[in-house]
Amino acid sequence: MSKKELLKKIEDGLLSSYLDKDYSNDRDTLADIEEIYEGQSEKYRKLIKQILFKSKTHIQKVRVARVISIAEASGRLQSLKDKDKENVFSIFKKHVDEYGLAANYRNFDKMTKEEMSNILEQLDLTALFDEIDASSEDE
Amino acid sequence: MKSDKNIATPKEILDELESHNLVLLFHDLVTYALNQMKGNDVVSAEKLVGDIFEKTVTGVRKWNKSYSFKSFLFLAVKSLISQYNDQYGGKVMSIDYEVKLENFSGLDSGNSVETEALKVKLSKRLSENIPPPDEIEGMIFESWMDEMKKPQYIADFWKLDIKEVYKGIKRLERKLNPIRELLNSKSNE
Repeated sequence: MSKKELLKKIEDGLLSSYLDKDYSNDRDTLADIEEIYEGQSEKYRKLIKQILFKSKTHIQKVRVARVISIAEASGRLQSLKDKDKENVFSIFKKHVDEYGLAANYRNFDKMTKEEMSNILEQLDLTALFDEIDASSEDE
Repeated sequence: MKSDKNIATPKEILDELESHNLVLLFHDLVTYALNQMKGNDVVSAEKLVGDIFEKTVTGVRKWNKSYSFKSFLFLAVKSLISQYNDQYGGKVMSIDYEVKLENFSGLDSGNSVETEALKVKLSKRLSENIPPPDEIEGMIFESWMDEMKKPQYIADFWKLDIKEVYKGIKRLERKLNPIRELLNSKSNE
């Protein structure tokens, strides 16, 4: 066994101890923290607060961006549908099927903007419009 | 372009964060980073870990849910330390092993007498630490060299309390740099 292999075993053992460790919140780790951290926990608590705050604000930002993009997507799909209903419908249906979403396809024509937005919200819009665009170019 | 359904959404990341004891996790990531770096630059290690969290929650670094969240974080630390290593050269230990732990192919490819002699040399080097390793640290170190990685297996094998094993690993971790130096050296010493 080479030195390199032996070093790998030692590093793997160390990493494995971290990966096997229980970091769940429901476990009582308070004693561990007090024992190991020697006053660092307060500093890390502040950092964690900042991380959670950033995580929450990012979710808000994504939601706002998505609402705008859904509205745009819905409008774009409506106008494409008017031009080539059959083709757009078949691609749209395929994407809805892929995501296992329940939708009343027969009412595609009568679908309100809100209903369409609800479905679009759950689809990969880029993939959907890429396919519609590619199909239009082929024709 | 098809989306990868394995990439976590921001909400899934937040749920994961909230289900973990983040102070404990953050600290262990910093300790892991610090010990993979040569020296004791705690500020850099904390910055590196903080950066991973920030990039994860803002969607810059994608968490592929095929890995557990904690694996993703520890492997991210490992990957960034390689980059840090490239940037700062000699300041950081060379990390040169495969990411996928389970793919390790295994046992002796060389002379087993030489291997055993090397293990004895490593144990001796470890014992020269100040303070020297205690009995449990020695047991853990031997287990790792014999490819016994999981803390629970080590505890079962040596009939130890699992908590004692984890505490022993913490102490042992701080004593590994001379071992790394010896194993990274090109000489036969």
